[in-house]
Amino acid sequence: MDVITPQNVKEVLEELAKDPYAGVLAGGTDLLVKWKSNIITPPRLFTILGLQELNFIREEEGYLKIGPLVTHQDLAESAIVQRHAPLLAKACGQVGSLQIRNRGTIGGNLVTASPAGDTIPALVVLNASVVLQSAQGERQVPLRDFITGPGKTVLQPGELLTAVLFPCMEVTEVGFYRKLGQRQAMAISIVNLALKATLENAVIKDICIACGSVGPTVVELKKTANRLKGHCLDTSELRDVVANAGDETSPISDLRASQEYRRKMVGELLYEGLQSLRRQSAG
Amino acid sequence: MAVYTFTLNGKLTSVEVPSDTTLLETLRETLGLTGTKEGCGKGECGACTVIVNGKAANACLIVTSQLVGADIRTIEGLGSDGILDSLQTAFVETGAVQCGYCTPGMLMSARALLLKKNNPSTEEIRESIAGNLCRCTGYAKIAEAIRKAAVSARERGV
Ligand SMILES: Cc1cc2nc3c(=O)[nH]c(=O)nc-3n(C[C@H](O)[C@H](O)[C@H](O)COP(=O)(O)OP(=O)(O)OC[C@H]3O[C@@H](n4cnc5c(N)ncnc54)[C@H](O)[C@@H]3O)c2cc1C
Ligand code: FES
Ligand code: FES
Repeated sequence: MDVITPQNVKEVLEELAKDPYAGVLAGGTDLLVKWKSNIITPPRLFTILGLQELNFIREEEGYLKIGPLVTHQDLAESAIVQRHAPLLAKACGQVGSLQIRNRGTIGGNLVTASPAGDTIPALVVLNASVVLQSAQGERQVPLRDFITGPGKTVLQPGELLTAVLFPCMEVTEVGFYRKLGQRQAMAISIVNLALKATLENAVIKDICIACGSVGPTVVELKKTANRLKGHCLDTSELRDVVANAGDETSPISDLRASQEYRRKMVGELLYEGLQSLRRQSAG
Repeated sequence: MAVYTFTLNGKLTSVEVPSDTTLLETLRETLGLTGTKEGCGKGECGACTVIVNGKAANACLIVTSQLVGADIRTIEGLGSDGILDSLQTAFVETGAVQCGYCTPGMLMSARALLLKKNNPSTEEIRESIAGNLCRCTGYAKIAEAIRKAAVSARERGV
């Protein structure tokens, strides 16, 4: 495997256009593990981690725009992210270990498209899109359409993910992120759940819920969200409303957890999330 | 093969290796610095932890060509001329070492923490070594040693 250090994004795009088998290496926490296990054998890789033009967090006209090379740890610690999308900061803070968060990037997490990827449900409820750039030009794709299956995205050979963007959360909006793993650090999630809601006097006006590790890609709980609209967070019937939330998911059983357990935990995490929203709206 | 230059434990260092050589291989095999250990080779155990540009990182998941111009610190850079650094001293005095295999990685994770925080909370100490597995000690003495080192560094004003 030949690892090449490019000078800038333009050079990467030109090289990727010439060689459809070339790839890019960011933090390497997914790619190098797969390479060492002989799952992939890329002939040529451009290491982009040093390209500062892809490492930024900016607030632009009500949107938060994040470069693909921002690491999980930088996102978790970023004051701008904590202010405008605290649930994303939370999700990033729960990735792997500090060593992994110091190297692993948001771009790598999205392109890897793991069903358990921690930033994916968070970015889905934030209504994020990704910017894909090639030598021919650029296009913007909603994150919901970007990931099409486990490890599968619509990224074409020659394309680089150059930004992630989403609307900053409004003052009336509150959010939540929770990952359930076998232990706190270093564990792939058994279930993870992100939610974002618009509240008016503790009444849910609008809510968006997304879960990971319970289907081939992120699953949005649309029916449950519809049922929750109009409910007050203080009422006791919330338990019943969320009890069957897991029915909207299609988890598998594996060595980490059974299908039944995962389904049940979806409802539990959602209930925990609603309690957290209640506390946030009260405080 | 290509030549890559970075700062290693304060000294400008050049190595000639294939571009996909991991930092761990470069340290251990090309430079003979065998203090950094290999456990899993996949980012899961932390035995290979070094400090890259001030931050803890797994040397098994970095290729040397990604390090041009980087500032790298390894276990060999702690202490000097046979004199232990404050963390090493605290590990010895507290009994935070048993078989010792995880120790270099633990020390580098702890050093990275103390570079950022001179008065870390218990939570921050635990978080800093959450990516380092130890099969022997049960972690309690390691966390205690890190806390002691932080206290002694503050007392000495360093
Ligand atoms: C021990 C361990 C624990 C982990 N724990 C977690 C966890 O808890 N949660 C979690 O979600 N993930 C976890 N991961 C997975 C991984 O750390 C993350 O997915 C990380 O965000 C990947 O980013 P990276 O920069 O390292 O990607 P890389 O490995 O560099 O790249 C991954 C893929 O994305 C492509 N790519 C990267 N950047 C771009 C770009 N800008 N444009 C186009 N393609 C690109 C690469 O070509 C490659 O195919 C863990 C990994 C390890 C080794
Ligand atoms: S050898 Fe690098 S983390 Fe285990
Ligand atoms: S002392 Fe043996 S692994 Fe930690």
